[in-house]
Amino acid sequence: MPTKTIIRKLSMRFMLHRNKTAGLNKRTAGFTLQRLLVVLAVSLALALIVFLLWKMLRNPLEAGLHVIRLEQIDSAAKADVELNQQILRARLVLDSGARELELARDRFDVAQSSLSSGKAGLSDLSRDIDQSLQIYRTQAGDKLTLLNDYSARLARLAQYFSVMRVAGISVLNVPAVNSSASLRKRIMMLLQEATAYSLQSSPENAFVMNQLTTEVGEAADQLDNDVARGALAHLLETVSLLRSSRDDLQKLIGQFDAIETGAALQNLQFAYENHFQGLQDTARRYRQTLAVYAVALLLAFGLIAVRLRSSFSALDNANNELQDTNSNLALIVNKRTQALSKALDDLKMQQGQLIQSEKMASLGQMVAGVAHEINTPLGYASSNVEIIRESLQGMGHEVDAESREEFDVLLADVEHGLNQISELVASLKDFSRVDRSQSQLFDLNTGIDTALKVCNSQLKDGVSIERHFAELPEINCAPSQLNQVFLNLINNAAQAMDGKGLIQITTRQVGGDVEVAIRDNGCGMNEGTRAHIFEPFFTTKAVGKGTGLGLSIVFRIIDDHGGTIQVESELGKGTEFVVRLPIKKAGKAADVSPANDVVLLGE
Amino acid sequence: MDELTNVDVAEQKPRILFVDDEPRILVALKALFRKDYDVVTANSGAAALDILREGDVDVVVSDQRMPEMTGVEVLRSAKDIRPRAIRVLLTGYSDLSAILAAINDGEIFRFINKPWSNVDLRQTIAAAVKASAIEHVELVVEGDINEKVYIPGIDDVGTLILDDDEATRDTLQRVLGRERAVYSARNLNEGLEQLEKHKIGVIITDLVVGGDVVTDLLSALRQHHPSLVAIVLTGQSDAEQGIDLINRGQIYRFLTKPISEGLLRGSVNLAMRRYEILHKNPAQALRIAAEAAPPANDTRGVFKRIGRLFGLTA
Repeated sequence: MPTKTIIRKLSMRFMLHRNKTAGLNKRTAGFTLQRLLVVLAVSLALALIVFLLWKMLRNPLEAGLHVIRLEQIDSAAKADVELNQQILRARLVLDSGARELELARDRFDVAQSSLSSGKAGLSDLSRDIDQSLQIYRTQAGDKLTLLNDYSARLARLAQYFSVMRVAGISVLNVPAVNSSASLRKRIMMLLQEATAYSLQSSPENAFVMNQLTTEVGEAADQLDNDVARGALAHLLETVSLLRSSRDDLQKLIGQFDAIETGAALQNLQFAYENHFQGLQDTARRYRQTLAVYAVALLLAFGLIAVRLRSSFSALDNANNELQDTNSNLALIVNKRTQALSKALDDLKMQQGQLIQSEKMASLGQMVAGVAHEINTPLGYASSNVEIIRESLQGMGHEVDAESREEFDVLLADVEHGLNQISELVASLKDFSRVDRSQSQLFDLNTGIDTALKVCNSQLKDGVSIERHFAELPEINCAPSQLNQVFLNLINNAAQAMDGKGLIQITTRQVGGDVEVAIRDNGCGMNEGTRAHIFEPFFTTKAVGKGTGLGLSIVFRIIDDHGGTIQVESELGKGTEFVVRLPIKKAGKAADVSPANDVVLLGE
Repeated sequence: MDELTNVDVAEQKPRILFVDDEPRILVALKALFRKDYDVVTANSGAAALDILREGDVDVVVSDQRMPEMTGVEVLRSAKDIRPRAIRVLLTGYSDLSAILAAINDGEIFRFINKPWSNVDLRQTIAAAVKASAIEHVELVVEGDINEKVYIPGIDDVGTLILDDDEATRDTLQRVLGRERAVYSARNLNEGLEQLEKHKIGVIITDLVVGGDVVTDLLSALRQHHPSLVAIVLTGQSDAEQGIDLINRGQIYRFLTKPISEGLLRGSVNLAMRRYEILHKNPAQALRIAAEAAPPANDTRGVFKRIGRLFGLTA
């Protein structure tokens, strides 16, 4: 049955193991998948963060370009304004040409061309910007074309002006004219007016000029000098040319006003700033996203850290528990081992005692049978010897004194022999103790005292006794048997010493036991002897001096009382016997009074 | 036979029958006793019974272990054939059952171990011869002794139960209390108190009461109160104690627990009748006189008290 159970247990364990292995496999697969996912997630997160960072890092570059672009737009605007000023100023400078205007024109041209080209150019940034740029560039082109025209006309104006001046001076130098103060005055005024007109044309100016031209023309007609008239006509023609050139110029200036490069530039700037704003917004969005993402990532890492920590602490706990269990296990194993080894020792001891007891029991049964057979011849033999001795005493004179003495001696020897036999049988009977059991409450100290009294005669004068008696509870035992135990042990102790010595008898209570230690300082014994002392018929005494039964009887009696006897001995130093008896008879007491509480049969 | 008659007429020596399967024992015993007694021997139980049937015998001394018929069987038959004869068991070794049978069936006078001391054996035989001189009063039993019997005048006296086990006391009180007064005691002191207070004819006691063996008490009671009949009822069994109880206590029955109610009641009824005989014929007590060995040590002054008790009452 236990084998079956064990097999069942084993198979169950095996199945359990198999299940575990399967679970492990499944778990391993899950683990790989999980791992893959984690790696994927981590790389994704990293890619995202790199992307965002890249987007973020690109911004400072854009910002640098942005500044340059803005500067470029600004310089273009400045160039435009300067050009406009130079255009307006140019018509006032009739004699010194248009050098300033040329310079402004060049600057404008450079600024407008640099806007659309180069790394910091504005082209290809966005559709709006491209559109605005295109418009600007068209207008700038228009403006430049117009400016060329303007410059040419301005040069002609200057030319006409100088021609007019020369003509005026020559006219004035004409004596006919020179002589006429009014004419002269009118010519002077005309020249003045024409100069003013070329600089700043106005309707009053034009009216005055018309009047003066008419007056000069009328005056010329009155002149008779051809030269003078020709000169005057030339002057008037020149003034007229100047005036028309001036009007053309004025028209061109009006055209300049129609070309709104400034507005286009503003539009461009606006578009660019819009574009840049958009870029910045995007960048900000990215930044925000990055921040949010970073926070989320941080949180995720925090969470992972927390989880890691908790799993680590769980691991720690598990580890601790495992260690605890380990140490506990070691402790338990230790305890078990100790208990087992103790049990083994106990078992060995019990086995030894059992063997001893078995030996005694079988011997006892044999003795029980033999005793009767020996006692019968012993009975008549000893009786007969007594009778013969009595008869011999009654015979008196019939036997001579010598023979009688001899008979006495012989009979005494026979009696001695028979006594020895009967003592042996008596101790064998004691030893076998079949059908013997009795128990009563008894104080061992009293028993030891009795035993000491009995063997007092055998103790030689040199042997002293030391009693160390403790208060003992009365124990349940067979007093006569225990008396015999003490008698035997004390006799042994006395015989172990050579006439002189000390026997110490100590009694004490140890827990539920009573302990009697009998120690002598006699000859002691070696290990070989010690191992056999409780065996029946083992004796160290000379043949005829001891039966070899004493200690085996002692052992048997103590065993029957559920007690133990131990011996410690050192050769030449002495021997100590320690008898331990339970106060409450246990175990063997059960078969002593098996039916104490069952009084009646058939109830 | 003729020879025997002549001797009888001439000296009137008490006649003693020795039974043993070992002829040398018989030779030795004859040598020991032939001067003082008329010694008859038999080397088997059957031969012994033949002799008993042929003529009167004062004392029968038998070995226990013999082929075909044990000593106890011989003595039990002797009790039937010659009730007056005193019975003694002389044996080399005997087990407890033999001892119990010797008490309960053989109602023997003494139990003697081999090898014997001639001096002791002579004393024992002398005591037996002396006891045999008292005319035996037959114990007549009418009806089934194991049934409930109550005879006025006989069963008036009480029974004392001496046991330290409460269950035993209760059970005995219940079983026996229906017919007669039953007193119980836990220990020797209480028992003595009960004996002082009440008229008690039968004492039922455990072998060991309160840690003391009752043999000494019974021995003392036998000395001072010969008509008291003792029954030992015990769960313990000890051959040595049994022999002691015969020789010194002269107990009437040795019963072992557990016991059937019928046997218990029968034993008590018999003991009561026995008490009646002893009470009415004090001389009969001599037939069961115990060894008058003074107790070695009078623990707890029990024997002084017994002496005082019976000194005062008697």
